[in-house]
Amino acid sequence: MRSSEEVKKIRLTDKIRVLNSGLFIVIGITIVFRSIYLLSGIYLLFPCVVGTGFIGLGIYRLKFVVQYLRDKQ
Amino acid sequence: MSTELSNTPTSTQLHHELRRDITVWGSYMWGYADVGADIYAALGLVIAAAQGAASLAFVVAGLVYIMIGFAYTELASAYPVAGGGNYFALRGLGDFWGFTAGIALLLDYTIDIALFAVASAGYINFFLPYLGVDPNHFILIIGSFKINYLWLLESLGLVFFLIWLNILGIKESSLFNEVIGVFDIIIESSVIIFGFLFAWKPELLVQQWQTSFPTLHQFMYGSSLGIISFVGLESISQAAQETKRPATIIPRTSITLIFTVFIFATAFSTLSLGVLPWQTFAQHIGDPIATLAHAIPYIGLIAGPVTALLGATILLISANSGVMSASRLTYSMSEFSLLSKWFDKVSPKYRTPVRTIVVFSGIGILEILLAFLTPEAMDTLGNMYAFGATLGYLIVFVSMIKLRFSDPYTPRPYRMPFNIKIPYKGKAVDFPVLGVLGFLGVGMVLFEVILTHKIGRIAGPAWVILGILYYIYFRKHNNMPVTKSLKRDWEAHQIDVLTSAEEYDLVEEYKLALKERDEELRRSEKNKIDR
Repeated sequence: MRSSEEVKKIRLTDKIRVLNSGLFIVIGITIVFRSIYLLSGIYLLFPCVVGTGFIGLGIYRLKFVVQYLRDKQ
Repeated sequence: MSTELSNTPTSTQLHHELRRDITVWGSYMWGYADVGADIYAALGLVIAAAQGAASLAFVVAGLVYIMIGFAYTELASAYPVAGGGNYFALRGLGDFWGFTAGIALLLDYTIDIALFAVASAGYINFFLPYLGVDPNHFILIIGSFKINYLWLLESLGLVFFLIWLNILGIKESSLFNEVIGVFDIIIESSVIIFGFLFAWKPELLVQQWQTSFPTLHQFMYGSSLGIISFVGLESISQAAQETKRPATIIPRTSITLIFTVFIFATAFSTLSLGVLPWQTFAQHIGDPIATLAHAIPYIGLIAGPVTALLGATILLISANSGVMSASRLTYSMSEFSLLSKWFDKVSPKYRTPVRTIVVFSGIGILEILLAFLTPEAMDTLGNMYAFGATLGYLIVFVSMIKLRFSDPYTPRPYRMPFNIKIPYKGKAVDFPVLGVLGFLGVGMVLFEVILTHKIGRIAGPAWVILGILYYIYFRKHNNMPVTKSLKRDWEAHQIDVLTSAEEYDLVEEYKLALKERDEELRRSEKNKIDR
C-alpha cells in the first residue's frame, strides 16, 4: 500500500506518460479508421495490427492513472 | 541435489559487490535503450532485403521475439541474477552449455557496443555539412581498403567515453539512460504520430506489397535481420541483480517493453512503406528514420536534424547497454568458474568490474577496426549480431523447459502462458507449450541466419569455437571438469539470491516447497523400508 504522500505526488514523467498514452489511443483509432476506409482483405492486416496495438498499449499505459485515482479516493 | 557448496557466489558477495539501485523506470530504460535503438539501425537493412513485405518480416521476427520475451520474463523474475541467459543455461543444462550461451551472448554485447557506436557516429556525421564539413573527404586509402577515418575515430571516441562512464558505476550510467531515454521516447512517438496523421498513404503500402514482394531468400534474410530489432530483453535480465524487488519489477517491465517494442517496430515499417517507396530506404540504410521523418509534412524541415540527434543519442545509450551487459555477464561467468577469476575483480574505488568493462569494450573496439576494413562496416557488424542472439536464445529456451522439470520448487512470479500439466516423478509439472513454439521459432531464425548471412555464418561460429577452446584450456588448467559441471548447492544459492533481492515472501515460499519435498521423500523412504 502506498502512502498518501506518494499518492499526491505527480511527477513530470507521469504527465508525459499520460499525454503519450492518450496520443497512442488517438493514433490507433486514426490508423484503424483510415485503413478500413481505404483497404480491404489481407491488406488490412498490418494497419489493423498497428492500430489496435496502439489502442491496447495506450489503454494499458493509462491503467496507472485509474490506479492513481483509486488510491487518491 | 548436491549439498556441497562449491564455486557458488554467496549472498554476501552478491549483496556487496554489485549494488541494487535500478527502479522500474530504470529497468525499463535499460531494455528500451537496447531495443529502441535497434530499429534505427535495422529498419533500412530489413526494408532493403524484404522490400514490400518488410512489415511482414518485422511481424514474423516480432512474434518470435514475443515468445523470447515471455521466456526471459519468467526466468529473470525467478532467478534475478546478473548472468541472464548464461545463468539460466547454467542452472538448466550445466556448465558447458552455460558457457556456450554466455559466449554467444557475449558476442552480441561486444557487437552491440561496436555496431551502435558506429551507427551513433554515423548520425553525428549528419550535422557535419551544416558546419561546412564534408564527411566523405575523410577517406584514407590503404591498398584495397577505403577507410572513413573520421567516422572510425568518432566511433572509437564514443566507446572510450562509454568505458569511462561505466567505470564510474551503474548509478551514473542508469541515470544517463533514463534522461536520454525520455527525450528519445517523446521524439520517436512524435514521428509516428505525425507520420500516420499527415504522411501515411495506405494505398502506397498495398501497392508495394503487390509489386515488390521479395523472393524467399530475400525475405529470409530480411526477417532474420528483423530479429536484431528486438534484442534488448537480455539487458533487463542483466540488470536483474541490481534491480530493487526484481520478482515484482521484472514482469511489469518486461511485458510492457515486449509489446511497446513490437508495436513500435511494426509501426515504423508500416509507416515507412506507406510514406516512401522501399527503394528510398534501401538508398538510406544509414539513416532510415531521418529519411522517413524528413518526408513528413509540417515537421519535415526540422525533422532531419532532430531525428539525427535522436538517432545519435539512442544508439549511444544502446551501445552503453552493451558495455554494461558485457561487463556484468563476464563478471557472472567468472563467479561461476566459467571464465578466469581475473575478471572477478571489482574496483575498490568505484565498486564496478573495471577489468571486464575494459577488456570486452576493447574487443568491441577491435571489431570496429576490423569492420571498417570491409566495404560496409554496419552491414558486417549487423550480420554477426543476429547469430549470437539466436544461438543464445535457443539455449535459453531449452533451459527454460528443462528447469520446469528439474527445478519446479523455485517460485515463479511469472510463467509463460499456455501450459499443460503433465506428470513427472510423481508431481504435476506445467509444460510450456509456448516455450516449444518459441524454440522452433528461434531455431528457424538461426537456420535463416546460417543460410543467408555470409559473414555471420563464418565469424559467429568461429567466435563460439574460439570461446570453447578457451573454456577447455581454462577448465583443464584449473583441474576442473570440461564436459561435466561443478557441484553447486543451488538451493542455498537460490535462497541467498532471493534474500539479497529482499524478496522475503518468495524465500518463505521456496523454503516451504523444499520442506514439503523433503517430507515427501522421507515418507516414501519410510514406506520402502516398511515394505
